[in-house]
Parts: sequence; structure tokens; C-alpha cells
Amino acid sequence: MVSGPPGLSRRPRPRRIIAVGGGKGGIGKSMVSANLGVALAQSGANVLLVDVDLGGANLHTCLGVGQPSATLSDFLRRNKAQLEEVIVPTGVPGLSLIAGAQDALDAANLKYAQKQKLLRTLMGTSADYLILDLGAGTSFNTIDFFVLADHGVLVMLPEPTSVENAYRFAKAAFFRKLQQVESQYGIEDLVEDALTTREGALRTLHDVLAQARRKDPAIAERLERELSAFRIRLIVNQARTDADLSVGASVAAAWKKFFGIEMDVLGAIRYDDEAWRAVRKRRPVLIERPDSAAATAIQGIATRILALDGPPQRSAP
Amino acid sequence: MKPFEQQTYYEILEVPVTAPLEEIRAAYARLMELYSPDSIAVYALVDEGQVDGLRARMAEALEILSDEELRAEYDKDLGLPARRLKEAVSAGGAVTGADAPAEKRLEPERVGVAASHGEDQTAPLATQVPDAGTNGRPEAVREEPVEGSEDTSGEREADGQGTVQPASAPMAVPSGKADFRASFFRGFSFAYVSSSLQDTRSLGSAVDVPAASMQPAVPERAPAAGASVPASAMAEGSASREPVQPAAPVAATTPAVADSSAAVQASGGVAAGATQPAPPVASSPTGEVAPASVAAAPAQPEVGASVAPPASASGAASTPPSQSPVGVAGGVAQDGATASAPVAVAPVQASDSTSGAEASVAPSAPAPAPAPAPVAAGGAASTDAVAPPATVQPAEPIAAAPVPEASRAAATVPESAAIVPVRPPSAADSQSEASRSTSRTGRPLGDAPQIAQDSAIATAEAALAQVSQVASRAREPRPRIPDIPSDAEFNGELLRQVREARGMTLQQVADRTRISRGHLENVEADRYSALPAAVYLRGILMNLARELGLDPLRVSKSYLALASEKSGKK
Repeated sequence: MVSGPPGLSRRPRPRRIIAVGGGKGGIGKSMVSANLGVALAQSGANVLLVDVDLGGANLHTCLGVGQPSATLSDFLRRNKAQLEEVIVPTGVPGLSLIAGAQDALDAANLKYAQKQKLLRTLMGTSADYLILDLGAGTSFNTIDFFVLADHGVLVMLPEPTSVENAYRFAKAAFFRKLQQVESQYGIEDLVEDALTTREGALRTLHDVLAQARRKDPAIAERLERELSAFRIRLIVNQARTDADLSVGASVAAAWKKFFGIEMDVLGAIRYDDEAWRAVRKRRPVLIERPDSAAATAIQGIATRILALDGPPQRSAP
Repeated sequence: MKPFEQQTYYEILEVPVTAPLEEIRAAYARLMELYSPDSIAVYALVDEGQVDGLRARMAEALEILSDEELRAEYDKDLGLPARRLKEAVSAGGAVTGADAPAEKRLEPERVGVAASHGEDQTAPLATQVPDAGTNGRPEAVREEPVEGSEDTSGEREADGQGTVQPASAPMAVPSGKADFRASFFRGFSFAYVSSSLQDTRSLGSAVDVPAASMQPAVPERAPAAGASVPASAMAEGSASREPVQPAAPVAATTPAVADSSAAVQASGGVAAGATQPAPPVASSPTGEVAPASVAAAPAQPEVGASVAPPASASGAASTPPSQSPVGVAGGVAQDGATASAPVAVAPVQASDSTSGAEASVAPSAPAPAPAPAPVAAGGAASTDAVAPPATVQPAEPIAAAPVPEASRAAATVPESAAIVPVRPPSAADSQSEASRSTSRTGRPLGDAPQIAQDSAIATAEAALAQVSQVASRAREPRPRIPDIPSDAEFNGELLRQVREARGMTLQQVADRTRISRGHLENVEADRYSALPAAVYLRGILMNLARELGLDPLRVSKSYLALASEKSGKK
């Protein structure tokens, strides 16, 4: 399903990689990541949470870990040679954490080689679930993690600002995906066109595919299949009304209508003061108030992800 | 993974092809809300134009799918099993058997009703026609619709009527709705609506028939125009063809006849028939002929022959310049029946359209003896030679506005066999009251063929002359759009001409482009000093050019060059 860096597919790797992104900041990506990790761990999976929000790491805070002794930047700066050395326990059985970089001025500016190293190493971990908590924005450092994931989870609030950023994020992800496979399909020029957003240029995946089809139908077919396989899964956070709950479905429908690509809706999380209170306590709401609306919703989402992945003995692709 | 422009109506509305009407309506309501302008789900997803386009397409989908006949035909186009269609036909057929005789007796009134359906369709168009700038015809055209509505109003409510709506609606829409047009132009291949709209547009543009572009749509168009198509077909058809009619079309049309709603249904039936019969028609040397022959087929071959002359005449006229004739036909059709107008155009050019015509004609055939007669009359009428009033015809009105009459007549005729009687009146009214009365009295169905034949022959020449005259008249404005020389300077005048040739009003352009009307006026009047700064002007020109189907870069460059030159001299 996921084609990681070449040569990696035969190594041990996490059964599933979940990347939680969303474009906009402050929409609960870290909260969703942390609680999703808890939920999956509680269901018996071995979960590794990684805070790849390099410039604004706070996943550890959501989990109540405190200031971690070792972070991702230690690994990246070769202070720690092995990824295992920077993994810290969270207090939740089955759930461990790699905290984000702290205090390094250039922590957010991952160099290409560093990113490749990190990607490779992360692909090599052997957890059942690897959850990547992405930062805001659509920088390549963020998008690349998202594109690599089995489950690209897009968190959005039922607000225009968030929806707008979510769409931008999703489009960026798809075009990044295109860019990664362009040489494979010989469509570099098409992607180039698509990425320079000028009038008359190819602006949608339809356009790109149509162009590719003109060049070579067989390739277009494969490309289309590959793109379809890359499915974004949607979570609506902080839904305050019943109508908000259905925003996810609407967004997925609209996305499909215009881009022809399916989005899965994993569920909506009600706006919940308990969740907010839990953050204040620096505890995952799932542990603090497991019966709150937010916690139940996240459990539902975790269940859905487990269902999507099928029985655990599934071998790595 | 295909863009919504290419989705079928079912895909657009996200319903299974078997979905019942309620489900379709519910889906439509849900989706319209989802894609409403203030819906959060489409915020920043794509540009507004695309969302508007989607909504227009969904409305179109609902229109087609909520109409039993149109849906059946559409299904057929999609290659879906014709189950529904068959049901409809059989139902219709049963009705027909029962009602048919009665209708014949009643002919004037009943027929009138049936015709009225057809006219309903035309009505919007008729009103529109004047706008389009077809001089002279307005009055005549207008009369008809009125008549139709009166007649219709009484009996309209019948079962068939419900279906009528969709058909008429689309036609009405084209008249002014730029949005609709826009959406259609995006290249939807199905949908009569779109085709009729396009036609309308062409009508507006004074017979500018983008033959090539329209062509694909033609088959569908034919059905929409149902009524009109046959007429046109007859007009053009050469006498030679004969009982080409496949049984299928007939069957389809038959039901239509059965109900008083004939016109509407007929069009639906025709559509269905059209799609299928088309191939046969195509194969036959002249598809157009079919109608004539059809009419004749049931009753007398002679009728067909008689009709033929006129038909051939008009056909001949149109034929010479492949495009121009088309244009003429289109123009005529439009005048008479807006809806049909487009169809009319189509037939002339393509055999496809003809097929539609045949189908429509066919119904008449199935109808008992009388039916053929009326048809024949219709054919005659279309050529201007209305059977009874035949003599009258040559008279004044024809000369003045031959085209409208003919087209109108055509429109009515095709609607259904039942309609036929009505038709003569309409033709007559344009010509004169006297003639009209004559036609009614003279209507005895049995005689009709004979009369039609005679009259047709008598007037064939006159009709031909008129048609060619009209054609030549119509021809002038058309070339303008394509004929812009490569080195042309796009000044305001040229832009105005293009716009008018496109049949768009300033207001329509303003609405579509969101450029203020004032700016547009200034642009067209070359009031450079009153125009905004070049940066903005460039945007305006690009948008305007796009709207007019011109090359935005070329237009803006050319115009800006002119503007800077002129204002510099000042």
C-alpha cells in the first residue's frame, strides 16, 4: 500500500502508520494523536507516538509526560544513535512516545538528509501503530510524513478557516504524492504544470490525470489507482451542533465530487469541556474522563481504524 | 474518478439508477444544501464557478430524472435497460387505444389541447424570439403561444402534463438565464436542456449555428424539440423516402397520442424513438425524408409524396451552403417553436435529428387513418402550404414572415398526430383569420392527405423561395464570430458585435462576469477615459473575452493597445 523509500519494504516496519495533520494550528491534532494512541494502546496494540511537530512540540504535555529527557532532536543530531534511545514511556501500557525537539533554534528546519534519516528509521520501527503528530502548515516536512502514512488523518474544525486549511493540506498532500511518483510515471512536466498555479494550468487531479491519459493511458490508470489508494481520513473536532457532526460527511462528499477521490470519515468529536479540562490537567481525556463525549468519540475512531486495518496478523506490504 | 461534468445524472445526484422519484428528490435537496454557497463543505474547495456549475447540473439532472419520459430516454442514452421506457410505452399505448377515436372526433379542441402542450413548450421561446431580434415574426409567434395556453389550460391537468413541465422549463430557462447557459456550455453531452439552450443561443445570435459544436447534442435535442423536429424534418425531407419508420418509434409516440398531453409525451416518446431509430435513419439515404413518408405510410403514399415536394424545396434551400441552410432551418424553427427550433436546425444537418423527426411523425402513423392526414397537413404547413389554406398561403403573411410560420407550423405538427389539426390554425393565424377558419372546416381528416398534397405542391416553390430568402437574410450575421480576422483590432464595437452575435445582452454579460454594466458599456463604446486603470481594464477584458468565447490574451492586448494609443493622442 505504502511505498516507502525503496528497499525498505522488506525490513520490519510498523504495521500501520497514522499521520495526524490538518493544516491549521490549534485544532486538536495533538489531542487527537495522544488520545488515539491511548485508545489503540488500550485495545491491545503496541503504539509509538512520535511528535513530528518539530517547531511546536507538545505531545508530551498532552500525555502528561513532563519535559522529556531525550527528544527527537537528540536523535537527529546524533546525540543518540538509536531511535530506541529517545523513546520514553508514557505511563499508559503499550504506549510510548518520542517527544518533539526542544529548544533547538533550527529544530523546525529539518534538513533533507535528516528528514530522510528520520523517515527511514520510523519506517523501521516495529510498533503495531506508529502515530505521527504533525505540525500545522503544509511544509514539505509536514506533508512528507503525511503522504508516507497508511492513514492520513485530517483533523478539522467545522469552521471555514479550518476547512479551508484542511482542503489546502489535502491538495498539497496529493500533489506531493504526485511529485514523489512523477518520475516513476514520466509525468514530471505535468506535475510541474500542476504545481504552478496559474490560470490555465492544471489545477485538479482530474486535469493531471487527463493529461497523463493523453500521454499514456496505461500509466494514467496506474497513477489513478495509486492516488485512489491514498485515502485521507477525516476527523471533525470540536463539533458543537448536530449539524457540525455531519460536516465531515459533507466535506468528504464535496471532495469526492470535485476531485473524484474518496475520503473516509472516521468520526466527529463533540466539543467537550472535559477535553479542555483534561488538557489543563495535562492528562489524556481518555484516561481522565473515559466516559466523556470526547473520549467516547475517540474510542469510536480508534475502533474504526482497527476495523479498517482488519485482523492484526496481516503481514506488512 | 471523473469530474462531475462527465458524471451521469445519477452519479451527480448520487442515487442508484433504479432510485424512485422520491429518493431522487431527497438526494437533490440534500445535495443542494451541501453545495449551497454558504455551505462550509465547499468553502475554499474549488472556485465558485465550479460549485455553481455543479448546482446547475444537479438541477438539470433533477429535471430530467423527475420526468418519466425524459428519464426513460436518458436511461436509454446511458444504455440502461429500457424497462421503464417499455412500461411507459405500454401504458401509453393502452390509453391511446381507448382515447384515440374520441380525439379524432374532437379534433379541433382536443387537438388543440394536444397542440397546446407543444405550444407550451414553444411559448417561452416565442416570447424570447422577439428579444433575439427576429424582426417581423414576433407578433405571429406570440399569438400562438397565447392560443396554446388557452386551449391547454383546460385540459392540461391531465396525467401527461406533469411530465410536460420539465420539457418546457428548460426551454424557458434558456431565454434569459445566463447561468444555465454557462453551465451547459461546459460541455455536457446529454440533456435536451442543454441542447435546447444552445440552440436558443444560436437563435439569439441570429442564426449563428455552430453546427459542429451542436452536432453531438443533436440526437438528444431532437427529442426535446420533439414536436418541432418532425416538422423541420418534413420541411426538409425529400419526398422520396418512405415508410422507413421503425416500429419502435411509432410505439413510443403512440402513447403520447393517447393522452391529450400528446405533445409533451410525444416529445418524450420521440426522444426515445429518436435515439434508437437514429441509426436506421442514418443508414437510409436521407433521414429527413422519413417523416414525410411516415405520415404517408399509414394512409397514402401519395401524401408522403405530396409533402415531399415542399420538403425537398426547403431542404434544397438549406442544402446548398451546408451551414447556411442549417442556420435557416434553425431560425425558422426557433421562431415558430423555440424548443423545436434547435431541433429543426439539427435535422437539416444531421440525419440524427431527422431520426427524431421520424419518430415524432411515426405517432401519427399509428393513429388511425386520420392521423396521417394531419401529419401531411403539418408537413405542408411547415412548408407554408397548409392544406386547406394552401391558396391563402402565398398571400401576404408568408412573404413577410415566412419563416416563422413555417417553423411554427412545423413545431405544432410534430407534436402529435392529434395536434395536427391544431397546427393548421396556427399557421393560418399567422397568415390570416380567414385561412384559419378554412383550415378548420376543411379539416376532415380523410381529405387531409389529398389537400395537403395539392397544397404542398402548389406552394412548394413559394416556400422554397421564401426559405432561401430567409436563409440569405439569416446568413449575414452569422459569420461574424468565426470571421474575425487574425489581425483584427478588438475595439469596443467589435466586442459589441460579438456579444450581440452571441445573443447576449449587456446585463447578461454583466451578471455572468460580475463586471459592472457601466464598465461594459464604456468598453463597448470605447470610452477609454471612463475606463479604469489598465490593470483593472485588462482583467475586465480578459473576463469579457472569455465570456464571449474569444481569446482573452488577444482581446486584452489588442484593446489595451488601442486604449493607450487613443488616450495618448488626446
